[in-house]
Order: sequence, then C-alpha cells, then structure tokens
Amino acid sequence: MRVVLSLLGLILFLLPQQARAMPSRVVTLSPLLSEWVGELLGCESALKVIAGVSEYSDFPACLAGKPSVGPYHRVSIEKIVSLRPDLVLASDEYNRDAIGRLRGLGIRVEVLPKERFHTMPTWIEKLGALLGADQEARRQSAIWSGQLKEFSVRQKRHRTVFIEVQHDPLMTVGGGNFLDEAFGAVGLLNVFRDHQEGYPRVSREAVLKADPEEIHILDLRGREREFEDSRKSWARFPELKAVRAGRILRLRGEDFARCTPRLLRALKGLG
Amino acid sequence: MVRVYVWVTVAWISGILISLFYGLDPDQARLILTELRFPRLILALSVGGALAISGLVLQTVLGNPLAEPYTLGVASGAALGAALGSSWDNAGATLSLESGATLGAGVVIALLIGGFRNRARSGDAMILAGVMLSLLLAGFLSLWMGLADASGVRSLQFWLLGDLGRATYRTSIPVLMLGLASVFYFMHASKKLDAFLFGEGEVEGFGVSLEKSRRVFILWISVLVGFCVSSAGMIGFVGLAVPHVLRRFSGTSLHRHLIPLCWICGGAVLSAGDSIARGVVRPKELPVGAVMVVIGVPAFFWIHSRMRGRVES
Amino acid sequence: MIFLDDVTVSTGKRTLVSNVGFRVQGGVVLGVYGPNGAGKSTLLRAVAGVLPHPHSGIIEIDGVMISPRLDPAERCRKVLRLGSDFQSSFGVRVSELFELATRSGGRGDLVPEVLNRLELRGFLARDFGSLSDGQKQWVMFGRALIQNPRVLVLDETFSKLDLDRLATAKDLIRQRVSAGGVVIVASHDLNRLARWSDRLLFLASGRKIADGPVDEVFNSENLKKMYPDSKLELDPQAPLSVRY
Repeated sequence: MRVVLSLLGLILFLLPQQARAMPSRVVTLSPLLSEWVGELLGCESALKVIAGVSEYSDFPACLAGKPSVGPYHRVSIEKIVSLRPDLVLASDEYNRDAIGRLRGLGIRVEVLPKERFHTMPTWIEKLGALLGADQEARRQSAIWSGQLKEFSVRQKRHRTVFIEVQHDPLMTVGGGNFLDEAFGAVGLLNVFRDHQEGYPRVSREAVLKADPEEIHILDLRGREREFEDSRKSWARFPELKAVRAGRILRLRGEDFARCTPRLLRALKGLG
Repeated sequence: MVRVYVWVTVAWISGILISLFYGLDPDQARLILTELRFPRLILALSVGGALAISGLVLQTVLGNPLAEPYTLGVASGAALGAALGSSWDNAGATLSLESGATLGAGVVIALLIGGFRNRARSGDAMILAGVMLSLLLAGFLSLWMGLADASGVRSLQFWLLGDLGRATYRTSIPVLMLGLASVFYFMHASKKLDAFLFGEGEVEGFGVSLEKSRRVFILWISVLVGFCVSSAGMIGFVGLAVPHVLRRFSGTSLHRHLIPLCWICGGAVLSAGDSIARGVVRPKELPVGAVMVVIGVPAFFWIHSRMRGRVES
Repeated sequence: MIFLDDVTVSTGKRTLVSNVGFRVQGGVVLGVYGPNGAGKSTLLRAVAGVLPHPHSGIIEIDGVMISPRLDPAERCRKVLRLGSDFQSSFGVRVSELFELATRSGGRGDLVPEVLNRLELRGFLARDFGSLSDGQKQWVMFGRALIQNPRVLVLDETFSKLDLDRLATAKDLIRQRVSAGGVVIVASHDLNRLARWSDRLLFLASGRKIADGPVDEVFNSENLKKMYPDSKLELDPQAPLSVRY
C-alpha cells in the first residue's frame, strides 16, 4: 500500500502541470493570442505578466505600450530571447522554424492549434490552463458555448453570401477559415466554402457564377471610399441576385478579423 | 597591394563588429551572441564571400563583366525548388524549403553539365543558355506563386529576397568550409583563371584547356552558389559588384590577389548589409537581398566614379 | 620538324582545307600565302592545335601529334599561335601579361632581354586594353618570345606594326630560326613575306598550290594559279615582287 502511495506521489510530483508555477513573463506570437491573454487575465494582470507581443496586437488597447517581437509571420528570435520569457504562446499556423529555434534555446513554447469557430471553448480552456487563469477561461468558454447554442436554435434565414475580404486582387474566405464557420453559424452560407485555403483568390467570374444572394464587404480599414468603390464595381452586374435585391453590405472588418468575443458580438448583429 | 589588403581586412573586421554588437540588447546578450548572432555572422561572411568569388570566377570564365552568380540559372532552380518544397510539405515547411532549394540547384547543375558537354567553347552561348534557363525557371516560379496559398507565398517571398535569419551552426559551418575550400582551390588555379583575361581565343595559348577548365570552374561555382542560395535565399548585387570594385581598387586583375580579396570583401559587405537589414526597423526585419541592392547600387556608382582611372593608361 | 600529311578540315557544311601536306625542318621561316578565304588561318590553327573542328590527316611537331586532346601546357611549349586582334575584358597590365607568359612555360631569364630589345619597359604599367592595335601586336609578340615555343605561328600578327618595329621583328625572327626554331608567318603582303621567308606555301580554295624555297615558288605560274582571272604580274624591276 505504501509503495503504491509513494509511487502515486512520485507521479504527481513529476507531472509538469502540477509542478509549474504560473507564468510571469509571457510573449505572444500572434495578435489573436495577445487579445485572448488580455481577455483572460484582464488589463491589470496582463500588463504585469506580458513581456512582449506580436506586432499589430491592437486589442486590448492597454497593451499598446508593450514591446513588439515582430509581425506574426516573421518574429524576431533575438527580441524574444532578450525579453527572457518563461512562456511563449504561438499559433500552429506560423513560425514553425522560430518555434523550433526557441525551444532549442531552452525557452518554453506552447503551441495552440489553429482557431476554429466551433471548437473555441476547448481552445479558450487550454489557453487558460497555460496562463493559470482556469476560472476565467471556464467562464469565457461557457459564454462561447452558450452563444453557439443560441445561434443554432435561432430561426435563421439561410442565404448564400459572398464575403469579400479584399477587392483587388479579389480575395474571399475559404472553407478552412474560422470566418466561414462563423458566418455559417448565423445562416450565411459562404459560396466558396468548398475552397480548402484560408483566404483564396477568386475571379469575379466565379462570383457571378455562384450568384450569391448577399455580398458582404469586410471593410478592414474603415475607409468609406474603398467600400463605395467595391460596391459600385459590383453594381455593374445587375444580373446578380445581391445587386437586384440591393444586398451589398459593409461590415466593420476589425470586428471580424479575429476569433474573439468581438466577433461574437458582431455576429449577433448579422443573420 | 599591401594597402589594399589592409583596407579590405579593416572593412571585414568592422563588418564583424557591427554584426555582433550593433543593437544588442544587454539582457541575455551572451545567449543572443552565441546562439543567434554568431552563426548568423558566420553565414553572412561565408555567403558574401562565396558569392563574391563566384561572381569573379564567372565574369572571368565567361569573359563578360555582367556575369554574376545567378547568370547560369542555379539560383532560379533553387528558388523554384524551395517553392515546391515548401508547398509539398506544409507540416515540416522549414526543412522542406531548404532541401527543395538544394534539390532545385542540383537539378540545374546536372542540366548545365549535360548541356555544356559540347558547348563550352563559347562564353556567350553559355550565358545565353543560362539566361534562358533562368527565365524559364522564374516563369514556373511565378506560376506557382499565382496558384499557391497566400501565406505560403508570403514566407517564400521573404526567403527569396534573402534571409540570413535561419542561420544555425549546422547550416552555416558547411557553407564556411566550402567557401574556404573554394578560396584555396581557386587560388591554386589562379594561373588558369588569368589565362582567360585576354579573351577566349588566347586561353589555349597560355597552356590552359578552354573547355575543360571552364566546365570544371563552372561546376564548382554552381555547387557553391547552390549551397548559398539554399541556406540564405537569393542575395544579389554582391556577386556582381564586389569583383568590379576590387579590380579597380586593387589595380590588378590577377586572380591570386582578387580571389582572397573578393572573399573577404564580399563577407564584409554582406555582414554589414545584414546588420542594416536586421537593425534598422527592429524588431521587424528587412530582406537583406533588397537592402544590398538599394544601398549597394548607389554606393557602387559613387565608388566607381571616385576610382575612375586606377587601371587606366 | 613539322610534318603535315593529307590534312583536311571541314565543318560539315564546307571544307576549309583539303588534303594539305608539307614538311618543314628546323631553322626555317615559312611564309604562308593565299587569296582571302584560301584557308590560311584554318590551316595555321590546325598546326597550332587550336582548331574548333576536328581534322583528318596527320599534324606532327617534333614527333608529337598535335590535336585538341594534347595537354595544352605541353602543346604550347611546342607551338604557339598569335592572331592579329587582341582584346582584354578587364583591366590587365602589360607586366601582368608577361608574368602570365612566364608562368605558362616561358623562360623568366628571357624577360629582361625581350623587354630591352623590344623597348617594352615603358609599357609595363600600362593597361593592355588602352594600347593601340599596333602596340598590342607588339606587346603580344614580346609575350610570345618569352614563352619561347619551338614553333611560332604568326597569323597576320604584324599587320599594324610601324616600319621600325617591322625591322626589329624581322631580325628577331631570323634570330629565332638560326637557333633552330621554326617561325610560320601568314601575311597578306606577299612582297614583304617573300623577303622574310626561306620557304613559301601557297594556298587557294583550301588546297596547296605550291610549296618550296622562295626562289622556286615565287613565279608567274603560281601567281596565275592563285589568281586565275586577274591581271597581276611580277614586277620585272624588283626581285620577288608583284606589281599592282
């Protein structure tokens, strides 16, 4: 009996999760991770714990003064090393070689899988566990699940949509993208959901062929002029259902840029 | 001549010091220096030197002052190989990019060997063949870029413009070794190289086989360039400009001087350029190939006009 | 010392040289002459072993077969060919040219002598590419003397030399052959060629017209064979001259 107990104790002692202290110097390698760390820890805590963020980490605003480690597709290993992080948070999608290098230098890097709209609750909890913010993570995860449930039972008018991410060259959202799933949850069926890529380039002809009922233009930079130009260029095709019905909509791209609570709030306004 | 060596060595040492210490965060300085900056410096010095001597040898052997390491298409092959490699294996993208590049370079080298078997007589014909091959491969690369995923294209583009940031001891030491071996080899062969100085027609008259030595030298250079592109992407300008500047600055065209001078100077130039690429908009990084061209070309013209008439009558 | 037998050179489309054969002993200046396109340069390239096309027949110097397969270092000790036009792509000094010549099997001890005799000291620091055509020819001649091959082939190499240099060149050539070497000179100036040479070789349309001592070969009959439709004739008032 004693042997079993001591073995158990040994195992528990060796379990990394139990032995590790809460991270106190965190570096994030993507704006999504920065935003979620801010959400889970709250500004006050986050400011103490975060040592460096990915470039363009504009949410939450309180992290604006934090040192940047470079853009998400190419981080500066040197900068990260100089910040002496005890935890680096990375996304599965980018920076594989950087992750390898950092680990080679003895730095702890935890990789979170690419975010998917329907599995966010698990993702949130995993991040929370890494930060030692399990309670808040559970809360946020429940909110997300709740919202997902609400979307699924809500009465939806299913419409086909074309989501324009960029006008020239014409880029839209593909099937593997969280946005595609998000729109789908509120009844908006992306006409290009069969494309495997995240942000495929498509031709205008393809859009004409797909003949969506609505066109949603993601206005990423808040420029009225650009939206007008896009809208006018689609208006030249009166045979499109969306044009005939006058359903060319402008969406504030900022809110749709990342899989965060802001996205949920913005989606509620759609559909 | 001694003066020339002294200046070039001073430039080399300056390049090293700037690379190692400019913009160095005192926090974790030791780790950064040994694990990041030093291997990167080794790669910069090695690739810069290798590209410079490659440019020199190709200019000599093809009898054309516009020749440079990428003239014969090896780099385009490496670039295409890198693109295909990175897209074929998205899970281990990094590794495949480098092996793809090596494979691409190798294929082009094999083509060159086969194609030049009977055509090493005319330098101009070789240049034409090389340019055509480069264009063809670049065309395929553009096709790939048009069809591929945007993020894949983006990371490749950075590499294509020259990227010394992936340097580790494992990747940089072999380039250093090959570079040094090349310096010794070409210094040993400097008499054969000198025989090309008076045009193709005179080479045999100095007791050197025109075709055989051309083939051997081009093969060696192609392998060297292949290694450079595989480990650091396409870095232009160094291979074209450094030999020209040194010919004027040193006042000689003899290869027993130009080879070591080019190696040292090329390394100095690239390490300085890399420091700028890395340090100017920290923590973002500029692609070193672009930096080299943007700063290098005006500098080249300035130096050229200052040194007009060094080897003139 | 030089032995050619039934040498034919063709590119596949055209035959440049047909069945040419001759022998030359050491100590002789051989002048090679023919109308334009007669195959002189091709033949001389063949003798020097620097032909781009393969040839049939035998070319032997001192018992060694000359062909592109022969080790170039060995070959240029036996035979060295100079053309008439020279260039350099990059800045090279004349002194560096001579250094290269010495390292290519030349004799370093000959250098001071050549420099003096050809008055080349003033050229040493000059960039080869900046010299005039005649100066280039002169400098290259000096280089050839330093390299000291057994057979020296000069294909119109003196075409742009001034009279003073021509005179010196003639003396130096005679000096070489009296030491046992052979000099083959091709020139479009038949009158001068006849005065420099011991033997003449006439070519026309790739074939040998005549070959032998100057006095025997330089006659109206051979002239007519080379130029069947022309009105050229020997000058009765000057020996070994064509009047034109």
